[in-house]
Amino acid sequence: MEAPTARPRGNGENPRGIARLLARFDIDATQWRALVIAGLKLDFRAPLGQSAARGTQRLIGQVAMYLMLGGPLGVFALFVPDVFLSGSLALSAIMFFIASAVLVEFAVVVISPLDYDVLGYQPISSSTYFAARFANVLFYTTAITTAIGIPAIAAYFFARGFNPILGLAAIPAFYFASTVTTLAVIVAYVGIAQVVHPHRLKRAFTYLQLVASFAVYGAYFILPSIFKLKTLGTLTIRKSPWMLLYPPTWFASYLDLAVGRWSLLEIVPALAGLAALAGLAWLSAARLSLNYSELLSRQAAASEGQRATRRRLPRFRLARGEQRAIALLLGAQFRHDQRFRLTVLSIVPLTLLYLFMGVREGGLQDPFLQPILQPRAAGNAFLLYFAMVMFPAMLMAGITRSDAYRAAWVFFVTPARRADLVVAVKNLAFVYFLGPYLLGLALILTYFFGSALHAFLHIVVEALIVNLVLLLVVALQPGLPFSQPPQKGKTSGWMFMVMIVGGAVQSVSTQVLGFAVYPYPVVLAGVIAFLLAAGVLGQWLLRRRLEKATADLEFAA
Amino acid sequence: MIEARGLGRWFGTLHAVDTLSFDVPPGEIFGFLGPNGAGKSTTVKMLTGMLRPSYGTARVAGFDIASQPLEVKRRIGYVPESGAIYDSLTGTEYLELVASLHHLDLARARVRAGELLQLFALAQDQDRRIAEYSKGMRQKVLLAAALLHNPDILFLDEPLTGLDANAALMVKELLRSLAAQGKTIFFCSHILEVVERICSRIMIINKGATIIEGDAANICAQTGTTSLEQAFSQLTGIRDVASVTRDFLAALENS
Repeated sequence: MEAPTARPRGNGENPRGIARLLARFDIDATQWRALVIAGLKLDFRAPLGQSAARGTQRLIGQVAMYLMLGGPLGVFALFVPDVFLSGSLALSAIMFFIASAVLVEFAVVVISPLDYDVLGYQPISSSTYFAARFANVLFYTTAITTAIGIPAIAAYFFARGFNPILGLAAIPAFYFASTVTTLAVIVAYVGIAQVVHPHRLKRAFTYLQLVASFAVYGAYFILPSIFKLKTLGTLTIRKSPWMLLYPPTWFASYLDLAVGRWSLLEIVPALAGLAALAGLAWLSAARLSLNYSELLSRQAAASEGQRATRRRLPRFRLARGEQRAIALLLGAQFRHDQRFRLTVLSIVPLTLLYLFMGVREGGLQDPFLQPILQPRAAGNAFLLYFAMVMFPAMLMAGITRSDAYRAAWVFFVTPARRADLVVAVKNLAFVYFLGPYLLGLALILTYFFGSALHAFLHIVVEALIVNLVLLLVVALQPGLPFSQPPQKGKTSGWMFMVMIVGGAVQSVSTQVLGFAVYPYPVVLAGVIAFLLAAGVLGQWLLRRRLEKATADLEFAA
Repeated sequence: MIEARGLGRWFGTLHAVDTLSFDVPPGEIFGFLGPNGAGKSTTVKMLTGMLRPSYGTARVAGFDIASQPLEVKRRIGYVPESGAIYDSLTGTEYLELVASLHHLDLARARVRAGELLQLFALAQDQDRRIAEYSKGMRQKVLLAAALLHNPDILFLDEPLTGLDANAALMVKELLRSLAAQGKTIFFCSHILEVVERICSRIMIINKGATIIEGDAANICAQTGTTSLEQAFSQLTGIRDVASVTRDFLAALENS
């Protein structure tokens, strides 16, 4: 399906002002505005049967969460004397959050052929279509930047007495960094899409997304350890040219310029930031956008063209009824639903990164031999357990929300017991995804602990705790599998909350295990028995809750 | 059978279905018609347990849809208007999924699924992903899934969408035969010729409320028309088709 490229000129008049500028890139301003407004209406409009107030509440919740994330950046900006350092840290965080948001939720939207079915036959030029999709994503990333960045930007106005120039310099620094990140991720996505055959495109994007997320998370976590941060009040950094290869420093240089530092080490990176912005914008407008419609039409027209793969998740021959239905569906969705597969697989780079952090700081020592006392090592060990806590939340969010939610009518018109469906999802999520993940982790820890028994016992205890977390996640947000439409921004918000609360709980429990449980076999046996009993009780309570909670569910489409 | 008594549904301030009451006895193909947005699909969703009624009651196969939804669902088959289906599954896998949700014996369900796929000429494609199917093939899978557990009552919302002439003919004949066996068939369609031909009784709704009920001849007699199509257009808004068409053409010429 090829999109017509004829472009109507409004009322026949020549475009003026911004419209004229856009026209130079073959973007029709009228169509672009209409498409952007329609896209935002679709995103913000409450689903049928839900009040607009509920949508507003959700939006307020998300803004509050991002403001909370931005709070520490404001503290950095206010108290760290070196504005380049505080700026680099704050901009690293901003770019990390933006890249994560684009990677997890928005980049797929850019190459999704879904609404091309609706718009593909309209007289919209490829560039206009691309610009509209890009503007939609940019709207969200700018909103996130505003929410996270406001505390830091405000702090820069007062960081050294009242300094309006520094505060004003922070504004382009933050928004340019955010825009460059958004552009870079989208350009990478669309660029890859130009050269990869549609048959393999979805799979390729999954892995690109994994690699990119690995790089983003890696930079975010490893750079602070390279900088060797000590305490806030004394933090300072000596610039070196190699450090300026790190993109956040380009934009942090604006802050240095604002406080009167004007050497090549400030001017060159500041210009590099502008060049990156201009280069990526040009690349998007003048190159990628021209083939965008063709790309979408290839996506829309492409079918896998191959017989169903024989590589399947095991279906457990004894499984019957709801359990079997869910086994079938989870397996097929994992094989073919890019969003879901990405959700599951994204834990791998995260874990590898945390393992790397643990190895660097000595956090991967055998907790049976000695508790982890050194705070930094304990902190890095905690990251690994934190990933274990995060995985159930990620999984359940990925299983509940899906592009295939319209097909969930089948759960509502068949006599399947909804509570059993949700319990089956929970159990099979553990068997298919959490179990193998923890088993893999046990093998890796065996290498570091030097004792398979200790590694496996440790993972057994952690698995029992993870099972309780999974029960809690399902109890808090019960939903039928693949039955809710994906909502922009919602996945991140939910995940961040579980990361914060679950991570804290896991941190405490891991320390307690090292001090009070592992040295005493009888206590360890007791703890395992207790966790098993808690799991059984939790499952029973979950089922009771689900009987009530799922009875009120209605088909979302 | 299906009994609805004062059934209604609100979506916020929109009164989508307004106090509907009707009976559909076993062996009847009941045509349920209405213009776009009249409330047909919402009514079907309430009768199949996908949506809760805001008020009123309904019994399907003798069971209350609100208090005994599982008993209802064991006895119904449904083809949705949206045609939504898990297209990451193969045809066979989808039928296996539905069989599992109905707690059917898997060995017997597989045999039955094979027969249904054969009947719908999908045997060759049963191991291909539904994503690769044409619209008509997807519709056939949905029809096969609706019939898999041999339900007493069928809710068919635009079941002929996308089917080729041969398949449509076969489905119409199948529906007549099922009705003759005593199955209750709740049939929604905009193809009025088909409705007129196969439905023994018809109800037309508009803005959520019943405006007429009876067999096709009776409806034509009541409206003074000669076909169901004419009766429908007269009852649901467009009273003078020729005059409206002239206005359309004039508007196009003036634009």
